[in-house]
Amino acid sequence: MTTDEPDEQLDTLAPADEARIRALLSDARETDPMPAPVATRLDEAIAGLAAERTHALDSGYESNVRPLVRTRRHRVVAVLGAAAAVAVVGLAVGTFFDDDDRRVPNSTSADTGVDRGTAAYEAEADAEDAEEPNRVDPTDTAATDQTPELTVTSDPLGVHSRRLVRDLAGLRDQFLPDPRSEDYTRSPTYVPSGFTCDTAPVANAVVVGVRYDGAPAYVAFHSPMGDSQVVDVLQCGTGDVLRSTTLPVAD
Amino acid sequence: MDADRSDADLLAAHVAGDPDAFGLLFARHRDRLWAVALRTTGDAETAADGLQDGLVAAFRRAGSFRGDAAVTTWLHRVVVNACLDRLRAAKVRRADALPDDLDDGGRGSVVTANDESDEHLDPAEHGLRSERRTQVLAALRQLPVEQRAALVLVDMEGYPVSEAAEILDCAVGTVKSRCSRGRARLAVLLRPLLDADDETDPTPESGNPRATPDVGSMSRRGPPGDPAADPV
Repeated sequence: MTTDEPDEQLDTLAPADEARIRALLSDARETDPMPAPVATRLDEAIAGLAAERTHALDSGYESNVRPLVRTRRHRVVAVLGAAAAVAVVGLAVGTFFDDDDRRVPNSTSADTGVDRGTAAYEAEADAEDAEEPNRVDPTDTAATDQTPELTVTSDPLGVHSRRLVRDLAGLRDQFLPDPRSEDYTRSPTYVPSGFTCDTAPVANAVVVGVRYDGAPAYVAFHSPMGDSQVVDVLQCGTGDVLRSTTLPVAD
Repeated sequence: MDADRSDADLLAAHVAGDPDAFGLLFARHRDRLWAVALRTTGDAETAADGLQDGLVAAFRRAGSFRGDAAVTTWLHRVVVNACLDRLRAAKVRRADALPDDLDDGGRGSVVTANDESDEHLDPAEHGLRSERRTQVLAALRQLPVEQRAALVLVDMEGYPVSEAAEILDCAVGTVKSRCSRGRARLAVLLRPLLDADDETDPTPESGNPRATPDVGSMSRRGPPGDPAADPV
């Protein structure tokens, strides 16, 4: 018997026991069809991929990636005025990074947050006067080198569980137009104005504050491995991984 | 007619830009892929994530399919690899055990306790069978993922060893070795079941349970009724 694994002394199994084990395994096989929620989710993912491909082909994406990505980035995030940004960051930093229980409830943002999803991304792409994100670094005043670089965006960003891959891909297009070149060690963090969440973001990842199925959450884009990138949706307040998936990374 | 299009036709159409072809291809095989993903991961949520990862990869890399294997084999390979990647990544990240034996009924049960073949059983038998499956699946999750994947494909899904080797992208001998070691470990873990009364025999008839729904276009590949006919 040839094998590509290290030699190992195989236990001998009586033929009767082997037959019995095989029968038990056979009896435990899955015979139910794919559950409807899973089927729906996967159908959504495929539809999203197909739409993305159609859009890419229409836009000449495959032949000229960088210019389009740069353009989308320019369009994506409108920025608060400098004074407003400073005020909001003051609030956000306090609620993000303090260990104390100083969370400031923000029912207004929760109540008025709009799950914008992909449609909003496309609508934003049509905006003519968008600006680059206005990066505000909280380390300017007192922070340490480990403090993530924080950027405040203008609007809540929606991610929906039923179109997770599509929404995350859209989010990545916004904030990581070139995933391979991003400096993940800085843990750059993007949060919408008024976004509050007292869970410290993960290290070595690009973190984006979103509304996941309507509730505040983080999306963590980890450093790509090979041609894929692990993306986690983290629960606000606990940091638990709500969902995890991988996105392909183009060469 | 879509039904007249072969898997290879659908994949080629997808590569050529047909926006619906991949969805049709997936719809043909999704139940079988789901079964393999669920049993390989042992957890419905992980199975769904792994399956989605695999589909994304297959969608993107369809152009690299050379036709050396059947399309279904290629699809299974991509999905199984994605599931194994998920399990390995989870193990590395959490340095923890595999997911608990949770019966997440809403998203697909880890333990199928009520398939159609159970309709022939009385309630007592049904309960015994369900309990037996629970034990088997719990034991299966204790195996190394490579052994588990081999056993799922060969003994659960009934793939020929040669095709399982293609799916797992390894030598035939490796699949045999993994199956053999996996069964030996299961025999230790499931000794009480092996020693149980013959009345609890889960397979009064050889082969797959009766009335099992067809889950794809492939011909049924029930586990071999006579192990001697498939000397793995």
